[in-house]
Amino acid sequence: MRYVWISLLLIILVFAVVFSAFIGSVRISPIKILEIYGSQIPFISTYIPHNFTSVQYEIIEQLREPEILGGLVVGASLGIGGAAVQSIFRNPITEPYIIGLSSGASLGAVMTIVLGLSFLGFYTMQVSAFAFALLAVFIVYFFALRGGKAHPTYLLLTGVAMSFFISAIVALLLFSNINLQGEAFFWLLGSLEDITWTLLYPVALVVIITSLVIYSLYRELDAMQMGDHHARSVGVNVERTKKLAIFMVALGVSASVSISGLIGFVGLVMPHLSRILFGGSNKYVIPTSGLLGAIFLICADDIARGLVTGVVIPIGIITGIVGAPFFLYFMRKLTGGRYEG
Amino acid sequence: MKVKLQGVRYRLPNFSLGPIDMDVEPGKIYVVMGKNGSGKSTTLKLIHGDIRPSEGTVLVDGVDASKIGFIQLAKKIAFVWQEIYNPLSFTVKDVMNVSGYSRDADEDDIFKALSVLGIERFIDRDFNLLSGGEKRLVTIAAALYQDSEIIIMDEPTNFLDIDNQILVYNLIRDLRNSGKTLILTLHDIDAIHNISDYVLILKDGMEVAKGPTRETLNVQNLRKAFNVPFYTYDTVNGKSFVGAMK
Repeated sequence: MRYVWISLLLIILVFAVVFSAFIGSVRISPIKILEIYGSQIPFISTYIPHNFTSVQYEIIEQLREPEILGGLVVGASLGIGGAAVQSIFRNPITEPYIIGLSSGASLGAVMTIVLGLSFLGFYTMQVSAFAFALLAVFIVYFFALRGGKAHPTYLLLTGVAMSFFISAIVALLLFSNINLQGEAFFWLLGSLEDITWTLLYPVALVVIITSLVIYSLYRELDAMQMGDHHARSVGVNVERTKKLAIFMVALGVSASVSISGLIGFVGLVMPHLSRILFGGSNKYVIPTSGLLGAIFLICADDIARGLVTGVVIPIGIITGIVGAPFFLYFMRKLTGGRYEG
Repeated sequence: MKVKLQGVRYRLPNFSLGPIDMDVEPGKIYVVMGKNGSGKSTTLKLIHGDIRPSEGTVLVDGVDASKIGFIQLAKKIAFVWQEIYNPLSFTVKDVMNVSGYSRDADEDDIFKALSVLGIERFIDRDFNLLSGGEKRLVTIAAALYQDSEIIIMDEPTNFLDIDNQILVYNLIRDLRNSGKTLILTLHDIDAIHNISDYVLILKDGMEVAKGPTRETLNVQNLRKAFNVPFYTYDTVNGKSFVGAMK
């Protein structure tokens, strides 16, 4: 039965990807969009009528497709990262950002805005956000080490303290440059609008590799959910797993955040939704959190683009406003006391 | 498989254990007993390699436990913790699967291990929604499923009602008779007297006495360990121990 539901999610994802291109400030008829899709598929393209203009093709191929697939990649990485982090920390209210990722990325991005850095041209902000996010995670990890072991509680507390510290620096940078707050504000609330193919390809590659590595650790993460001592007693090399999983989450989510800005809620909630629907084992939680995250973010982006004509609302606002009530409803209806311990 | 503790000490800022010397022979039941905070659970964790001694060595089949790989150690020693929980959500089957990490998972074996404790009907139930006693039985079944040569159990009868306590004591004996080695902490002195082959009695982290149960478990040693006078009387099950009340 589980596999039926997973197949259903895959079908929903395909539909979300296909039909999201129908939404946008420039109206293009669905038939023409499907023709544009067809024209991009080798061997089939010659049989497809080309009744669309080159401008319409450009809008779909250069603007909407990278944005939608960007939503898929970012949503999947946040969902998978959230599932891994909740298992490592044994804590249902954690998400990938808890290990300093978001604050590090925001410092990297805001620094390039405020200081006007452009040493890598168009990619300066993305690379800076990625590098600072990783750096913040490393600092958190090494501060949390006690006798060669990173206990989840120390990691969590160090991550929270580091996030407050870096966020204060970000606030100071913005406070001292009040006229740049608008640009930074948009980044801090997340947006898929600026994702291009050149940004997306390397990030997608990183997310695919890190997601596969995280999935390969599902048995170890299951064991760690029962506690580090228990995991060790059943044969898991807890410290090695923790290091590898945190590094993979940091790499995948930092890469995602570098092109999307900060998008909350997905990493926290999708793993819970997955547990409610598919049970607690990471064998199912990791892949389905990725699927749910991708579907959710693509749909949230549809709302962000389609709600007000000509205006793109920051996606972080949509994920919170739409996602939270939906999740609260699910929690109320379906958990059946399973988190009560 | 043999385990040897040689001059093992473990120091924390406000607690010190040892030195402890102990030889664990295969196919026997060992019980570590003493008051709360006397170092029983710490001793079990040292034997298991979960914590490393501040001084001395723990040898498993002649090899320093800290040098044995995690999977190899899990094949040799399983641990039933006093309490485990999953703050997220797991079925009983998920909990069992975790204990099968060091071996090829086999659903029939999971079912068999649960059946030994009469809880095979729990297999699809949410672990967090079981009672304390039911969780205890699942964790014991999980250790059986791990199929290690030595099983360490930290207070295995906690939270259990009388019939399940008897079930677990009988299981412990059966495991010993099948060649497994068991190292336990227990508080029930009569049970210790009835099922164990050897005892190690601790007080404030120090050895009070150790040796074959019949010789070592006596009112003098109990008084030293617990600061309470004890007396014994004969029952249909053999000798029974009672602490004197005012």
